[in-house]
Amino acid sequence: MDIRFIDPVPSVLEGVKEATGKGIEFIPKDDLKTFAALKMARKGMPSHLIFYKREHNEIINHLIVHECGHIFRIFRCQENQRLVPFTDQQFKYKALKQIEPEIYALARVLSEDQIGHVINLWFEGLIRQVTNLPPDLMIERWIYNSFPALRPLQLQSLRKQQEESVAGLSETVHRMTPPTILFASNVMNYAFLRILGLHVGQNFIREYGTTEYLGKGKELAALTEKDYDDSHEGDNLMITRWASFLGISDWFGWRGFEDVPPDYAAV
Amino acid sequence: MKNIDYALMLLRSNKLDAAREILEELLAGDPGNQDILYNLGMCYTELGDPEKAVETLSQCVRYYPHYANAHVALGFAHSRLDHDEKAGEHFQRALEIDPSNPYALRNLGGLCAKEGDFEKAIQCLEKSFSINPDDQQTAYGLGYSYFQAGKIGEADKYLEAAIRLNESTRIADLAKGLRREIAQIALKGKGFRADAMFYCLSALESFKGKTLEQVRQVAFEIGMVGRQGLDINNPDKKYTLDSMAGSFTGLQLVSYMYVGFKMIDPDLDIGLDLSEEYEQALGMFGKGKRHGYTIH
Repeated sequence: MDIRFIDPVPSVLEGVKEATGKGIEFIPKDDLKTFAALKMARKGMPSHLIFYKREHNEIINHLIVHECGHIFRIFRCQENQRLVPFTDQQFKYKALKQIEPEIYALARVLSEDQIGHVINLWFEGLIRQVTNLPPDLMIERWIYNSFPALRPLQLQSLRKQQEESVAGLSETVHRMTPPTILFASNVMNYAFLRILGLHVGQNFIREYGTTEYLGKGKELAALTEKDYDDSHEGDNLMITRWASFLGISDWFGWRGFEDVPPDYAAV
Repeated sequence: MKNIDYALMLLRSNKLDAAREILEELLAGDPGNQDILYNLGMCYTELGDPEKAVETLSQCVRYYPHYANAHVALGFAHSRLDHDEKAGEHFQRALEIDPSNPYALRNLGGLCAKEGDFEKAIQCLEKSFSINPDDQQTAYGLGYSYFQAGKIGEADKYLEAAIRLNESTRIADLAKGLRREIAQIALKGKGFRADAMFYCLSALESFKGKTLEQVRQVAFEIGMVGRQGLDINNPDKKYTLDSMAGSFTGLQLVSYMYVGFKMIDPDLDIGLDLSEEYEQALGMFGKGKRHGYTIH
């Protein structure tokens, strides 16, 4: 199914073209985990790429505007000052070394094969969270403030995200996840949902009321509200603050926006 | 937004020009700021402009005469300009302020090594490394200084440590090069190696029935294994290969690699000289097989 854009999506797409000099190409991709995902254009690429699932619903409009938010934020920054987070085997090795005893402890509930399989999920999931949630916060605020017509879809989208986050409080996840990763993940989710909930007038954090994540989560939310500079540089500084707050600063690094692997542009 | 923390992120990501732009702008608004002066000075040095670095860092130490790291950075900028005496003075000054400053010790050690005083270099670098054991430059400096001082065993230990700290850097490449020289010294230290000759002979026999591609596979795999270092003086230590069945000593693998590369490209310099042993083996091999070996 092709995407049926609703207002204000067409004008946001036009805005991307104006701001970056490049349009967006939409490419169907059915093995995506979400309805849509973005690859921002680098110098040698003719356009930004948004991959989407053919089977989707109206929420995709919110997701597309959200992805455009990322483009606007990074392209507003002077070209040679753009930085993006990255991780590699060396960072991963250091990270897993840091939580080695926790991984061994899981051998009581998981087989070696299972542990090997989920290690990547834990690691990549946490890096995705810490490097995405801070800018996501600012983008969702921008969407709420700038596009009232999108609010109903935004709310559906955020509720879905809230449901997925709350799943991280379950006993099963608790038993099968290294404590360092689980704690960091839930604290980030709490801070994100708290700040956004207050902004859009919803209580997204009810389920966290009696959990151990409340204290640190509130602290993280407070420092975010206090110190966030609304820009690409501010995003990166806040990501660094979050990582340091959670003790995972050594789990990823930074490189220039254009310093991507040669196969980055491959569809 | 112009923010020193962001400039530092850019510096750490090696985006030196972008960092310099921000730091210069910040300095214009806050000309006496210690952190800006220090980091901008370092940035100029990294960008290959030591004159500007000296100017900026001199200003920094004028304002903050007890800032040990700024003296180290200024000394380093002077050393880039070959002002070794001034460089030494600033490293010493940094150590007067902070006797355990690992960067002052490392750079002073480097300066001593440059002047050929390897014993003093080792003293400084050992102290620096004991404080900062994750510093690859210090590990390499120790390896290099011990090598120059003729203490090969110690040199190899530190070079191995330098490579282990981060294999993807230019320093790691230098350490690997020096380890190859050490291996060569260890190999030829006892003169002609009859054991290597027999290994060359056995390699010639083993490669006789193989295609050139198969020989290449074995030689390249040994080359890859060798990047981690092969212990050629310990016959009890064994290695295995994917491309060839069995277990092998370090010297055996080196001999096989030598023969393999000679078959692929006789002019190739693999950094280890087994030419005498190879020639002798070739002679013996030729006597046994009238037509010599055949490459497919």
